[in-house]
Amino acid sequence: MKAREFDLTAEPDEQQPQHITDVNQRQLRIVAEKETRSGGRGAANLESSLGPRTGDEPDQSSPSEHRDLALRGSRQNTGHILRACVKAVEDILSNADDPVEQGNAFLELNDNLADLWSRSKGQEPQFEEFVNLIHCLILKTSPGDLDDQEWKAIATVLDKASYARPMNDDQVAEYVAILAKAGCDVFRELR
Amino acid sequence: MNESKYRPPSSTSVFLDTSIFISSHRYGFKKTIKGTLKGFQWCGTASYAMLEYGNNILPLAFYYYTNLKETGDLDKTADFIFHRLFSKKSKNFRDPHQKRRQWFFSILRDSFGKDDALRRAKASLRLLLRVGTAYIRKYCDHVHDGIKCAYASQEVGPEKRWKRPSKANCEIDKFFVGKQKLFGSFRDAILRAPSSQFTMQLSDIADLVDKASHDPMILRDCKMCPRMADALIAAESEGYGSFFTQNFKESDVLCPALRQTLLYLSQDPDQPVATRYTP
Repeated sequence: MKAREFDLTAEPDEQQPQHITDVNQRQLRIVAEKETRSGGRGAANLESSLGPRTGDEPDQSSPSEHRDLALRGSRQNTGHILRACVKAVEDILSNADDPVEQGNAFLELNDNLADLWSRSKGQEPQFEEFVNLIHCLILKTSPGDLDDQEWKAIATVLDKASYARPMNDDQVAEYVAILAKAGCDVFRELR
Repeated sequence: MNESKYRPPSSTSVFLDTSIFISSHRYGFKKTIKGTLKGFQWCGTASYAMLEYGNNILPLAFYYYTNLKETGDLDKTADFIFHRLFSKKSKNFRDPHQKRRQWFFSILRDSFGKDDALRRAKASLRLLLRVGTAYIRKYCDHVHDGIKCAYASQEVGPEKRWKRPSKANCEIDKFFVGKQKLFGSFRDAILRAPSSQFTMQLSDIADLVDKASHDPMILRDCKMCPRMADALIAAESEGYGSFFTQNFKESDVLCPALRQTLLYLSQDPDQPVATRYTP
């Protein structure tokens, strides 16, 4: 799988999430401080070749490592939230005869999906599209508007998605098909 | 690949026409389609349906997506496209059926702020483009690909536009020769049909079957094969017990030649699916 690449010199844009931008800015500051202290890039290299500095230790890891870590952390978080969504759907299904519990589970699912949506900015576009797809299925509905088969399909794809990060085209196509086959009204938001 | 092993027992199998996939994106049809498919264990379609789906849905999605990116405004894009589709210059003017090609993003506009709705609309269109014709491939248990049109499974995406077929890259001539007897029975059924059932498409099919019987290579023309579309899809459905479609007029003539049960999805989503058995 092709690794994600970010241009450090690029202006933050809508594809770049805040935490990535923060990491970039921090890395730029570290490089700038190094250069100021040591009198330029060549000196910085000479200094590092003489061995590690004592005291105020600058971060030795590369910017790409930082970004990978940030992205991995962010994906771990979204994985947890996706699993929380699965739990909420299971609660919706198991509380069919208790409208209060079911309603609360539905709200929980809605909140989690809204949270995922806010976190999806800057992650792989397939993930952003997937979160939007699921969220749109339950917009302006109530738990009873979807039948058990549809809820089970939603739980299935949420569960699959929680282990499928980063998400690719084939996976997202499979999720759309699973939902459509179960009768979920996929792409209803276009109308 | 041995195609015959993908032919399931006819009573439990249903073949889906392109119109079903297109209508699955329209308001109100999803439940009816789902309810109908529940009764079957095996669902198939033709690669030609993928091509037709691509020709209908994907250019429209690309057009909306490009406009959304340019205007950066959901309302402006919806208005712009409405006026383009229904301007006096457009052939869609006064054509009520073209209304189904309009998308309003109503739920998004009602539920979210302007920026969020825009971002979500772009995400939805991107996904529709990204999934492309794989939507059909993954939806069905099997996609029959006798015609082997290279355009049917082309890759598309938010940055890659759907290409309409322009230069034949298929084996439609071999497909026709392999099923010549069946195409002949389609022609006979069309010629026997009462004038009230006759349509331009059926007339084209009868005419082209005659011509292709002498020279199958004439079908290897991307302007020619859409005229045969209904017959090509029907020929791929051979062996299936039921044919599910929204094109009643053509299928009502072709299904009896295949001894299939015709399941007709009305243009009105509130109407139940009509069933016509072949005696």
